[in-house]
Amino acid sequence: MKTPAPADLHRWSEELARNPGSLAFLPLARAYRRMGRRDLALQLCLRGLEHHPTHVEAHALLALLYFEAGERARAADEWATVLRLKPGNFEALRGMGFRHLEQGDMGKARQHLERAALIRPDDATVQEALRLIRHRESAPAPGPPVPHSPERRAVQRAAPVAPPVQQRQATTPPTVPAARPASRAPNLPPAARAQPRIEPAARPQPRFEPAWWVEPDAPAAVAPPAPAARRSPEPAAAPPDPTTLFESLLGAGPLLGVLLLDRRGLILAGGLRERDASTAEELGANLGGAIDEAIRAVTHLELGTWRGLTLEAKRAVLQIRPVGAGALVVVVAERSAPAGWIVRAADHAAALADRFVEVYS
Amino acid sequence: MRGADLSKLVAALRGPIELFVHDARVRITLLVTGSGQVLAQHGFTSSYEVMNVASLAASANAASNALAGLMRVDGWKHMHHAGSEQEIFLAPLRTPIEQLTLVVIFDSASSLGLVQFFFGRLAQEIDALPDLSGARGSEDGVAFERDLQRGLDRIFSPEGGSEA
Amino acid sequence: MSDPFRDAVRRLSHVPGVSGAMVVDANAGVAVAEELTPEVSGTAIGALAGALFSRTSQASLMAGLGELETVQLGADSGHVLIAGAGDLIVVALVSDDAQIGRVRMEAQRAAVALRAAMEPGT
Repeated sequence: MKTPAPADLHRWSEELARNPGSLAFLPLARAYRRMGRRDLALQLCLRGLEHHPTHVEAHALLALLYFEAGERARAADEWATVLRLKPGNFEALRGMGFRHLEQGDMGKARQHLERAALIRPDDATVQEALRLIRHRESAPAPGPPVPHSPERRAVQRAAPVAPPVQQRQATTPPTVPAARPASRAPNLPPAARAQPRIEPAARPQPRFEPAWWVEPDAPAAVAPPAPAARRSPEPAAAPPDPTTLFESLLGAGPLLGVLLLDRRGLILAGGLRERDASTAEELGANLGGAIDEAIRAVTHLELGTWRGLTLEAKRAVLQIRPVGAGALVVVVAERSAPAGWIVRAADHAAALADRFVEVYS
Repeated sequence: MRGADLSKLVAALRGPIELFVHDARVRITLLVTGSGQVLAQHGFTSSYEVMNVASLAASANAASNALAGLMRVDGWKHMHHAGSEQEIFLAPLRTPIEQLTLVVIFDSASSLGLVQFFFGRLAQEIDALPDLSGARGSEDGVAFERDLQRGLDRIFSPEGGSEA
Repeated sequence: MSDPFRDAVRRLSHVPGVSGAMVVDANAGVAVAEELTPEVSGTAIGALAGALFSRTSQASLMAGLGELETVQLGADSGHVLIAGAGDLIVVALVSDDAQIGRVRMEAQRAAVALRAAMEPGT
């Protein structure tokens, strides 16, 4: 990237000094970043956003600065803000995709990266990350990645280089106010959750930590701990049975069935009471498109993360909840079932489903 | 439009239009210039169709603008024709270089509302495209450092940013 | 003479926690009547709620659950509540802390009123 002309720098500085609300903070912050003065660029960005809280390019630049400083959670906050303001922003889609990938949320990672790939089909980092997601999803139960495995190397290649920031500001900034991150997130992932007791062969994979997320020159302290160190020390136990997973819920009451579906609408566990298996399969297959619509609506209405869908039809009520690994839990009840009761039943079913998915993913 | 500008514009529009096709779930899109020149297309199966639709869209655009002129209104936002199975949507699209016409054909997988909504997003994206002309280069390094320091002093001084 | 579409959105938009209410043509995804706070985009809600209701209606019918009456989409920052009224839908954009039960009742009431208003002879 070219260095700005001194005359430009001078002009921007003058302008900003004269008028603190000037948009000159943005080219100036970019210039400082290019010159390695990230601290100053960051100050300029934060000050500029006080005057222009919905400035997309400023949030995008701030995300980049946080990312380069190793503050990934703050960078993700800024990318999320960018996407609320401008859902088609490539850098933010890519950044959020990588962030979700790091956190092991393949569904959200895929969602963001596929959108990014539509905007820039030739971007090698996005393609690499998508290949990795497909690989992870198709692999039955791979062991933890070793430091020099092909998979690890693939992710390393997908390291986001400092993404270019667009040179122009949005002409019609939306009205959503910017959310400032309250605190810096730790560099290390949260401690491994207590894992269910399972056979060694089915041991869940460690949380995904792509190497590209760590700065190349980052000190060893910020590198993720070795996979072995994060394994659960608990002894193994039998994995849950898919045919009886929701049995405790189905004993009585107005519940007609509970299904756990994968992202393709295939049944992973559960079934419908007093109905044949084909009805359950049909329900699973038909709900796929509806869920796509739900996610699209939540994304474009800027409502945050999708939490659930309730359908009240003539003959039944459905509560649909997202669980881990892109799966869905569907609770089907009689039409007369109390609304609040179904919510509680869905909470319970989602907890069971989460555990099941964790074991089998 | 010059050839170099045209290729830059086509390259810059590719991503936003693909996103539009994906999000709005439309079957066919076509982007044409005022003279009927095709800049991008998605979903057509033969060049014959593309040429026909492009020339008819350019004509429709010109006729509608003429009609708007007669009625003394400032042009039109979009045109929509609903068929029994397919619907057509034509809308002017401002770009950094010239005004184009977007032709969209959709069926029950989409809706007029979705096409309108995502077209609005597309127009915003294109509006925000960076200037297609090149960026200016750097000059003398000493002057650059001097101006940089001066700027820093000014901005981060105790009175930083206040009126002189 | 009262307008059933405007009446439907007016009542619904006055329920605490509702930031927007609309009557939408479900197939076209365009607004018939709306009362929205300035920061809410009617084009977006009409289009996306229409598509969501149409798609879930198809799923419900194909899975043998019968005609779809209401859809409630929940997210971190709020809910979208949709009640079917024939070819139209009543849509409410609801904040996360709203009394969703009350909004649901009002939306269903509005849908019933719209169905009645659109019946031949009314």
